[in-house]
Amino acid sequence: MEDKDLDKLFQDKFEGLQAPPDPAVWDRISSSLDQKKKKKRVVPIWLWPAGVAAVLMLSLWMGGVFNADPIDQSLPVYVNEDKEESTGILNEETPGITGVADSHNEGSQGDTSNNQSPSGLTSSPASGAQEQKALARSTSWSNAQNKAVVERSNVPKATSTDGRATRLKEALEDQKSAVTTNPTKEKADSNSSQQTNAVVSAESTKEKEETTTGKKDLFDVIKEQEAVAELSGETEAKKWSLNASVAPVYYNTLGKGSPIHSNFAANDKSGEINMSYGMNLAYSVNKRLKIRTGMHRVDLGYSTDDIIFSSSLSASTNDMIENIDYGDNAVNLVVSSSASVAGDLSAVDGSSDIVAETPDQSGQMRQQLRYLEFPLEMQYRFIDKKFSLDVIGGVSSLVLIDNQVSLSAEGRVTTMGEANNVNPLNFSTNLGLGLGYQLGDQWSLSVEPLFKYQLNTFEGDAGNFQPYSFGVYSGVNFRF
Amino acid sequence: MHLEELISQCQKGHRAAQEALYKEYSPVLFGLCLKYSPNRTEAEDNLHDSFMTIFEKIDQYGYKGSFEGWLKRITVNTVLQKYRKSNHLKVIHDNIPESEDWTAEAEQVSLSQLLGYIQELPHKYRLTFSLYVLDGYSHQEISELLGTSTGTSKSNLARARMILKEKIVKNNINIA
Repeated sequence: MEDKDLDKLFQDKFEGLQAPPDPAVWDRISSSLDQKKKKKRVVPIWLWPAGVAAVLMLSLWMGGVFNADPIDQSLPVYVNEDKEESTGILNEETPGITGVADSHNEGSQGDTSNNQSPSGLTSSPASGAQEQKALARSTSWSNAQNKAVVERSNVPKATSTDGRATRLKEALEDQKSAVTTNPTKEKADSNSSQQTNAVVSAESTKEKEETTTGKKDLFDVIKEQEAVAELSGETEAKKWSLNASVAPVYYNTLGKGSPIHSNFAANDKSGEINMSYGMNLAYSVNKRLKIRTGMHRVDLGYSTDDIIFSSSLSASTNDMIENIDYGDNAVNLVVSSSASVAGDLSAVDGSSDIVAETPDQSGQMRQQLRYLEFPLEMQYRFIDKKFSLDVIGGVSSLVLIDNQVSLSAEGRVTTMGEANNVNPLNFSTNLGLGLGYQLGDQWSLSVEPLFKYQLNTFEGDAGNFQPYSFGVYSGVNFRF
Repeated sequence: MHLEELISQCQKGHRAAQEALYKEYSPVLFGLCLKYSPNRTEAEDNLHDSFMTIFEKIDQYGYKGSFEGWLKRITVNTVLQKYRKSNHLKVIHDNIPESEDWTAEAEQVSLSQLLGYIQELPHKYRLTFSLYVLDGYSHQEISELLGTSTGTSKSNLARARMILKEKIVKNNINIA
């Protein structure tokens, strides 16, 4: 037996194969379409309250953390106190922050697993039922098929030399035999064997034309086909994803100004690295484009170098910096830039004695801002393999939840108070890259270096102070 | 209804148009599903899934090339997606008896019998045979569609042919 004979036999028989499916298939499609419509309407409605609830829970929970982690509590002035005590305070601060990061991660994982379980529950019984149905039906089909074979073997062999005519005749005979034999069979069987015979609808010449054109199409567009394959793969794709991330964020200024006082404009500023963590919810608009929002807690801070400060009973309100609301224990503090103090000394006669009597501390002035960040970003995927590459751009609204100015010298820290010129709400423009690694159908890891330029952090004139932050956000994504 | 109008109605999600489209094309697409599925029930499931994809993607149809060709591509891809990951392959008997006067006997095999033989093939053999012999794909294309090498595609085809020959020969012996 030659391969080409075999191929020809099949090709001849299957030319223009048409088979009317069971009418029940349309009913199923129709109800699936109804469900899909419903689903499309219902999902976002269900999801948004869930998202809002998650954000609310998170903020409540973080509110608790703020109380437990008193960044704002006025500390006594340690100008001449023991070194050990102040380092103790510093050490206390650090575990508090890492503790928050850990438990936050746990919380977010809990959320995602909760999201997963309901869908698992609904889908599994359905597929089980389908499988059972499929099994039942496939056995009836094979029974019917066997019968059909037996029935057909009883049909006298056609002798026509023309293959096509034979097929036509055969098909007719098949149908006839089905019709004649069916009444004697059980009802269920007769239905199935009718289905079997219905498969054979041979309309020879007309079909031949159709098939040849059909074949040509398939040839022509194989490349497109792969694209369609990918697209149809996307049909089942999950549109939403939840991301929990944590990032070290570096904060500094691009210019030389100072939002605290113009006296400090010329001083060097050194950026600080703090942690940011939070969650994002993303929606895939299409295969490449995602829109995402979320909530992050972010601490930003920088230090102004070359600061001289002292505690003086003779300090008057004139010495106070306008942009700072001093804490109760800090009203005696006199703070100035080492450069401007030198200027003052030479300018004011007699003042040198006073300055000499006060025990000056030279160190840094640290400004810390704590925000809740609500980003709205777009993410465009350039590489979509196991490793993915995205370009991310967007804006963030930053809601100020805490701010503090403190002084540090020789490892000791004291709080001055709060800056009063920080806007309660400001914005940033964000730009960055996203690197992803797929762990499976639903999980992936991401690393996103993001640059955020802040727009209106301070009220009024902050000199040339142009704050920005740069963070590398590492996260876990769950698609659903 | 004119085809373009039908498509545009379907794009708007009108149920009557969707049903008309289904009625028009389901026999052809179901024929396709039968060739690529292991049984009628799964063929019906695949037809269902294909139409769901078709109705979802119909607004992406760009009126380039034949609409029927587009529908067929979606259907074939839907079915391939379902079975190409399956590695379930049955053990093959290599000792197939050769029959000299086979062609004359083979004429008697009916379409539904042949369909049955194809459907009984393990997934990869069935997909390879249907793609290559019945729908004219090349080994290169099949290897890309099924994510295998062209060598695997060729050997799958050879094995599919072997099994089919065996079944036909057996059937002829039974008839005689």
